[in-house]
Amino acid sequence: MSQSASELDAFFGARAGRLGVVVGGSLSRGIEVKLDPHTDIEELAAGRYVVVHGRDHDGRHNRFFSMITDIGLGNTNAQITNTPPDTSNPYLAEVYMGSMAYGTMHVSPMLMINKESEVGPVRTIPPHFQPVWTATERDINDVFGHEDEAHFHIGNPLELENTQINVDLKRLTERSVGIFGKSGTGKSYLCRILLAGVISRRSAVNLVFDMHNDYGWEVHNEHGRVDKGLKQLFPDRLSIFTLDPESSRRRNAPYDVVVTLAYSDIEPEDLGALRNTMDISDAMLDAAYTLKRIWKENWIQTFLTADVEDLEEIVETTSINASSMSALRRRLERFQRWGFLTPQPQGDSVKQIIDYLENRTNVVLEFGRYGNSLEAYILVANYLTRRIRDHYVKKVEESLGDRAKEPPQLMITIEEAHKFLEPKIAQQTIFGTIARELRKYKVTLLIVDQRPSAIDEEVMSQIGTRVTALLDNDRDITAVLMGVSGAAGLREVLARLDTRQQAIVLGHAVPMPVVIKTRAYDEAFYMAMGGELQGVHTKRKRKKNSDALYGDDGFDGLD
Amino acid sequence: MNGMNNHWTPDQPIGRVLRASTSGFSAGTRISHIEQPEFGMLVRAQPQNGSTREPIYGLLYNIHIDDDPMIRQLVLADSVSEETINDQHHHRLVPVEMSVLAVGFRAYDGSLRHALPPRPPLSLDPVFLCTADEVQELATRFDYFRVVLSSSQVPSEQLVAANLLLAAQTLPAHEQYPFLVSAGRELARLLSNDMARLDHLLRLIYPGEPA
Repeated sequence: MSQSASELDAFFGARAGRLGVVVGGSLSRGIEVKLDPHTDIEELAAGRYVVVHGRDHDGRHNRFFSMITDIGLGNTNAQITNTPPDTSNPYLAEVYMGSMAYGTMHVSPMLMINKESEVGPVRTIPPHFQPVWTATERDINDVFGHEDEAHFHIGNPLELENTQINVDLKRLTERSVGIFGKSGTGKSYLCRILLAGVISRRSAVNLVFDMHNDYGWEVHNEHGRVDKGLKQLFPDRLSIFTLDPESSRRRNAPYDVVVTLAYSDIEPEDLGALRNTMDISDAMLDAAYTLKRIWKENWIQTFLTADVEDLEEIVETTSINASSMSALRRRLERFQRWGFLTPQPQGDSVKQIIDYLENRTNVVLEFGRYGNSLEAYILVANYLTRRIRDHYVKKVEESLGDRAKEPPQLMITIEEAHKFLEPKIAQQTIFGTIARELRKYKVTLLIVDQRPSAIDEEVMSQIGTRVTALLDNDRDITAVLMGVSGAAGLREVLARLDTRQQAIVLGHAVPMPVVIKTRAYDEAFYMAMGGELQGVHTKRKRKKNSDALYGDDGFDGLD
Repeated sequence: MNGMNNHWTPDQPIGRVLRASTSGFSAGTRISHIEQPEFGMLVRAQPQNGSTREPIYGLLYNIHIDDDPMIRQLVLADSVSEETINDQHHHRLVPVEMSVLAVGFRAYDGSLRHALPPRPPLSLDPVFLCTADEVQELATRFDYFRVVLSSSQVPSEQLVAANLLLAAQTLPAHEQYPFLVSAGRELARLLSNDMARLDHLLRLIYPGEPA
């Protein structure tokens, strides 16, 4: 041996340790591994990576890059469970553990690196008794590549903190993205990190409906420290719009534009999105359409100021019944409490937002105190998105004849997404339409939600990339993993994530499902984003693999 | 016996073959040589120089001392002088018998095979205690365990335990315990259906602290 172990470590990164051998399994269920006696079962964890080496051919072998999805205890004789050996004798304990009593793990093969070092999907499994090793930094880098213009570092694999997991930003933004997790698991941080990546690399322009003022300007985190907002990281690439300038002033948060909307801009379709939130019945919705037809664009204002005789006349001359009309009026009266809705708005806020977006300036729309009103959030998000999407449809169609008119890829971020995308209303809201249209009109969604099970199944199936923090509700876990191969194993992983700074990323933007320790949103991150603005990137090493793995763009949702 | 006297050295035989079969053999020796062989030791029946027969390895599982008419009379005597006892030990015509279970042989290619030999040793072939190198060579694999454990003519648990403890002593101190653990795991594999027997065997190897 001419090279010392440390020299080999320096060259290859940390060396792999053998964990066990393949003893069973199938392509659909995953692989069963019997652990070697020396393997410390407590050192294993669901979500970590292992590599199964295929049969050796002239010193080369396939590598099955896999994730630990379950860990268990086995024995060769059931009697040992009834009469456990005397483990006070250390020799007996050491002999029995690893022979008659042993550890097992279940691993799901995620990718195969063939003998030519090309990465591809798994279409077979290794034979019996092939060795299973811990994944090294080198294995991870072979799969996830290095950070560069198109790939953004969002975290590290568990236990391999010197290795980066990078998402493909182009693929991230060309399909809708979901960020899920129960309350308090850091969804906003995840979202901010992803948005920072998208903004820094300009892979899409963003419109963020910022319900709780989490994204634009600084925010106090739970440790009492102040985290910078995206405006502070990207002052020239992002503008803050606000519906509530008073709140912005109170928070000492600068803003660029105040958004006001006219009553006349509200369409009955916009009320459709509020059907559940404001308990608007079909009869009330029909009444709204009728009133719009009668009173034209000022229908809401006219309705709210109409006297009793006017309303009675409407009831007599139309099919609207009196109770539906009075119920609708009571609901619309709530609009009067919202300062951003006025009879005479200052300027055309929709046009302003579109202009900013077309100039590739990202927009964060802060709701101020109106963020506490779900009705206001849904109404505004739905209203603005409908018009922006209409504009995009027009521009994209025009660009078919003239590529210069092609608008930039737009990603719209909405929180409490299940309120927009419930099965009952997803068919009717603009967000349901965008989610289903895929990238046809260059508009995609970034939905942030804690109840993915409440989102329409068809919409969920069209979410390209899912970033999921801890979920402990079975229905939510099922919803997130719907359509993912090897979901049974991932369930266990998902239910056992830490409550903080851990997430699974799966889908379109990563080569395989991956559990990450999320990148910290701290000074180092701000510095890195500062470096991004000056064009400092590392080079991606294995572009060839990436192309081979992702192939072309023939995506039809998760398989 | 030629080459055997009171000052024993490792290159001297501890006895010669009395009876033999492919499953094992018996060797006879003088009572004065009984201090060298121990229960569980690895021994080798070496063919005479020039023979094409293979050396045969076995575990010593029994040491047997027969009586004779003189001994019968002497044990009944009121007192036996030290001189008489020494004379019996050095000049007695009935050999001490050592029983050996064959566990392997040296094949023509020089490898040590863990299997019964193709033919038994012949009468009067010299029998040697194996060197530390030979003991370690045998113990690099534990294939011979099955032969011992499945033999009905030997106290198999006692024999395996004694052999392993002797083999461990030929290793450096820091390798002894890991060696016994890996041997124990192989025994656990072989005896996975008989926990009581396995437990007994392992305790013979490492009794543990008294309760």
